[in-house]
Amino acid sequence: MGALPVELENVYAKYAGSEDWIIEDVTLKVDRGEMVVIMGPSGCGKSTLINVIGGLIPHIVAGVVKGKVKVEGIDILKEGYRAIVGKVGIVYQNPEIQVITRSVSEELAMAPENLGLPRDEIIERVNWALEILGLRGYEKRDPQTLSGGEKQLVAIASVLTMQPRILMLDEPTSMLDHEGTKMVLNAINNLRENTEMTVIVVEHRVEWAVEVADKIIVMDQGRIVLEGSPAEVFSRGEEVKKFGVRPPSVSEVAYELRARGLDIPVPVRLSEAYKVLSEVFSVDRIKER
Amino acid sequence: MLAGLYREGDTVFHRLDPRPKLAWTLLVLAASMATQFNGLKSFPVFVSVVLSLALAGIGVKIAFLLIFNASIFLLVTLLIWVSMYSGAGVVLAKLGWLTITDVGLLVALGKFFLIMNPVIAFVVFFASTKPSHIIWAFQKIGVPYKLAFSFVVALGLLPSIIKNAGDVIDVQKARGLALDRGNIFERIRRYAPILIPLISRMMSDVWDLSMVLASRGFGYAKKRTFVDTPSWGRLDTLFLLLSIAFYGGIAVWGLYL
Amino acid sequence: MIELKNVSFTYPNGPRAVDNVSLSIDRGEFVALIGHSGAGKTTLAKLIVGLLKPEAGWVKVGDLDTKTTPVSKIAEHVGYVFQNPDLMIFSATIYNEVAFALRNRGYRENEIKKRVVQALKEVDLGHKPLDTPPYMLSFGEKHRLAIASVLATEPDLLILDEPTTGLDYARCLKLMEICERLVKKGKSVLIITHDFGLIAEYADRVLVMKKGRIIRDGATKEVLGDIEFLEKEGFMPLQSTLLARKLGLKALTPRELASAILERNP
Repeated sequence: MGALPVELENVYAKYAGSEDWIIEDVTLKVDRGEMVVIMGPSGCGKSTLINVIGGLIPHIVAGVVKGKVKVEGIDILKEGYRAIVGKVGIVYQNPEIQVITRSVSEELAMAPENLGLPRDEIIERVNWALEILGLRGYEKRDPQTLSGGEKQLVAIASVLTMQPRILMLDEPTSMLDHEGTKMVLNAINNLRENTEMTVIVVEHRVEWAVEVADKIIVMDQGRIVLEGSPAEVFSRGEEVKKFGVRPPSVSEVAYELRARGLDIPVPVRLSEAYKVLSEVFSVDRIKER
Repeated sequence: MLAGLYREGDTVFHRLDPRPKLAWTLLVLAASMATQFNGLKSFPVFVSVVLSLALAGIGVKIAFLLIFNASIFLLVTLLIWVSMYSGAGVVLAKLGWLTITDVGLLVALGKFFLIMNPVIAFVVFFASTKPSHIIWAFQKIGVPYKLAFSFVVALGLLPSIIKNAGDVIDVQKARGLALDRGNIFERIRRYAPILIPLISRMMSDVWDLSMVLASRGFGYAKKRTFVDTPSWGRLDTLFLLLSIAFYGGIAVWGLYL
Repeated sequence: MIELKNVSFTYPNGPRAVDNVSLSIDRGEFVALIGHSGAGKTTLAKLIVGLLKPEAGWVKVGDLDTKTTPVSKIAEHVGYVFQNPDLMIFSATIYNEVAFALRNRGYRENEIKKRVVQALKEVDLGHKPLDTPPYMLSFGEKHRLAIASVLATEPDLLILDEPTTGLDYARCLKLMEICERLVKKGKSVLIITHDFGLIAEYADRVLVMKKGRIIRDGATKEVLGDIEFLEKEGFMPLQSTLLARKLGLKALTPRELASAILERNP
């Protein structure tokens, strides 16, 4: 059975010097291999939550954390940062500040080098990461010359070489164009399918989230306000909009129709929407794509 | 800018182990210090560093660019030191209040090379040595790698700051900022709209960077692994011995003869 | 009002960033500029503001030619707001921040006060005390402050470069509403963004840039509704648009689709 990857109980957290809690009374459990997407308005505490789970607060960044924070069965607050180094990989929003070296292989080797692993093992891990993210051929390229999407892939790869059990991504596509976004989201899908990694993503792109997430969490003002499967969360009609979350556009169509008096279920995915709408209405099926 | 100076290449200097190269830059510094009162004696050192620019694939063109920009510095140096030593030696010429003597000229040149030689040597070092090798070398000689790494990575931020500076200047210009008016104090004040956003950006970049490094286990292992390590070969030994002989000789010449 | 004719620009040591672009933007237009990274969008914006001078062709802002007019003069007619407001903001109070552009141009203090208050009201920051320090504002509020500081000179065209990065949905909508208000008053807005949802709701016209060229210029409905074109160029069409297509209907946004469905099936 083993320990849960992430177990938070009544967690409060704030940065040093801040009067108010950024995260308030958060209780959260994530199962092995689960994909969790966190959403919410700016300032709701999503990034802080990521940093707490990653152990960066309070150990690397000055701050106060109350409550129980257990990652892979380790009580981070009691045991300190060293206990979970390498177990959690975090990828941030800005591709520019996540690539530090002048060659992709150096970049990928950096984390396991920091961990002091044997040279051969590092080389093996670098090759594995290159393979799994489709970065073969990029070994000698200067990360600074890559596109935003490619940089983010390199950032993910450089974290994968630690072989973390949990991968967390904080708005990985918000600074990317459509091409880069597709690259990164496909990479995450890939990882999900081919590894047993537990993945937690903070992401605005709800239409992707509903396709891949096992659980969606909505935060507002430091608290978890909605939690459930994509269908559960977005069938709540306008409630999610109250929290600054944009529902999938197909769900919006259903909200509109419901507002005009029709009692139909709320789909979250494109395929579901087509099914629901073509069953409820008589619609020409000639233009099937 | 220094770490960002590294340019990929396969020159003699690139192939050298970082340790003899580091020793070389320090020897250049030592020799320049020993000959700072006599420009004629430090001239060979100067020639050697210019040669190193070529050997590192940087191009004599850049050297002349460096010197061209340093020519103001040269002029100021000349004026200061020539006037300080106007009492010593044989008078060569008189320009108004300035008495130029042979000793004055030699000292001025020596002081000029005292700065120029090590600067060029360090430029060559950083341009021909991979940042990871620099860090590795520091760890080898006992400097904690966290220090060296932080230094190198922080310098890597400089190119992005320069790029941001361009953007900030553009935007503030569009808001009507005029940098070329007013007296010296006013002009300094006018730079606030450029410096403040840049500094705040730099601080937030440093913050982000430290989170990224921490999450990648920075500082975890006392003895960090290095996959790509330089290796000491015969060329390195030869280079080191030659440098010690050459610069050592010049230092002795400068100090005692 | 803004006109570009055969404009080209190449960065030193770089490829051609803008390649033979001709376009015009009139009063009261809400235009979206889309394209992948490196397509030349920011370069085009800088050419319009006069921060960059065209190496071929010309850019006219009203009667002013950007090649011969200083940037600060052009900036009175075209306001450019960066993606990251932190790269613009430096003053100790929000008042001074907005007043900066006006003080540089020698406006009188009572005129400045009037315009500052108006600009802050325009961006929904009118309720904040004038001596509020910018660091106390949230990211979204700082962004609006940056816009206010650019609106102070009452430009005819406002260019927003990727304004929605880092903003949540509610704040994005707020921003779009501010733009819509400006457009209703006769100003124009050019927004560079990847967010098709917002474009579909607010912009009238879409320009598509690729490798320095404008490859499409048309009404929002027409451009964002052309699924084949978008997919071929590597963009992700809106799901509501895709759903509409699947159902044999023509619609862009969820609201339009709902209406279209009800029309078909009363």
